[in-house]
Amino acid sequence: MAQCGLCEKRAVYIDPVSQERFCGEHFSAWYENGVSAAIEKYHMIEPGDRIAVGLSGGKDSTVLLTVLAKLDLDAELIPITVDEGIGGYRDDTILAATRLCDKLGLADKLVSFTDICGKTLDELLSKDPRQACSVCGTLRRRALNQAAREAGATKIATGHCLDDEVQSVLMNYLRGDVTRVMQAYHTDADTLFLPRIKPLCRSTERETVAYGLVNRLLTDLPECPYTKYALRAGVRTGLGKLEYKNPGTMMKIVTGQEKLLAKLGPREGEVTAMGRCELCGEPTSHRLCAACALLEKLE
Amino acid sequence: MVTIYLPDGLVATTSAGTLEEILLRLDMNPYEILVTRDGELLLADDEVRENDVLRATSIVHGG
Repeated sequence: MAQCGLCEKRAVYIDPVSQERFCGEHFSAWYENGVSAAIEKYHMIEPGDRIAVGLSGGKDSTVLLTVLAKLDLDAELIPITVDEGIGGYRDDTILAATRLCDKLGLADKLVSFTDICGKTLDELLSKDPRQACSVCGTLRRRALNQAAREAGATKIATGHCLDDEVQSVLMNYLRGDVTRVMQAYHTDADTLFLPRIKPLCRSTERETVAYGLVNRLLTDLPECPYTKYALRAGVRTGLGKLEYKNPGTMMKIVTGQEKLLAKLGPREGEVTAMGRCELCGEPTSHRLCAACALLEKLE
Repeated sequence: MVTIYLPDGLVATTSAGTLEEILLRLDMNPYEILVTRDGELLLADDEVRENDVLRATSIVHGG
C-alpha cells in the first residue's frame, strides 16, 4: 500500500509530474491551494466581487463551486444554471446543481434557452444536430452573461480546467486562427460583457475529477447526447495520450503560450470597437451578435 | 475475476493485476480514467485482486 508523503494514511492520488503521493485530506488541501494560487496569480477576484458561477451540475462546475465556497474569498457567489433543453440529460444535472446549492446554502438561479430565444436546444437542432456544440456554446454564453448581469454580478466564473485551455490553444493553431492564438486572457472590450475567470485553469481535469471523487461530490449522471458531435474530441484524445506518456505536457503548452503572448507585448489599440446588436442590444462588433446571427441562420 | 463498472454503463470482467495493467488491457487511457474500490481512489500501481469490484469514472466531459 502506497503511503501519503505527508502522513501515515494510504495514498489515493499521485501527482504524475512531481511523483508526490497524497491521502484524501492532503490531496484536497493541495488541490485547493492550486486553485487559490491561480486566482491570485491572475488577479481573478477582488474584494467585494459578486461572482456568477456557471453551474451545470457536472463534475467541473460542481468542484468549482465547492472549492470557491470553501476558500476564504471576500466575494459573493451567485450560482447560475443554464437549462439548454436537452431531453433525457439536463433534468438530472439540474437536480444535482440544486442539491449542491442547498448543501452550500446558496440560491441557484436558473435560466433556460427558452427564456432567451423561445426554443430548447433539441428544437433548435431538430434539422441538423451536427452543429450542437457551437450552437449550445454560443447560446449558453449569452444566457450566462445575461443572467449574471441581471443578478448584479461583476464577474463570471466557469469550470474550465487546464485540459480545456490546452485544447483551445491547440484547436486555434489547427484552424490557423492567428487572431485567437494571440488573444490574451481577457479580451472583452465592453462593460456589458462581464469579465470571465477560470479558477481551475491550472488544475488538470484528472485532478479536478479526483477531488470530486475524494470528497464524494459526484453522482452518476448521464452524458450529454450531443457529445459525439464535439469537434474537440480528437484533440482531447490525442492530448490525453501525450499526457499519459509525458506527464506535464499540457502545463508546458499553456506556459509556452503565456510566454509567447508576453513576448508579443500588450496589444493596445487592437481591441475591436463594440457596437450593439440590431436585434437584442447585446454588445457586438458586427450588425448582429453571435447568438442572434446563429438564431437567424437556424430559422 | 475482477469486475469493473465502466463509465458508459457497461460492465467488464478481467483478471487481477495492477490498475494500470488492467486499464491498458481494457484499451483505456489511464490518464482519462479514475477508478475507485469501496469508494476509495486507486493509484495506477495499486494491486487489484480477484473478486474486487471497481468503479471507473471518465474525466472526459462533453462540449
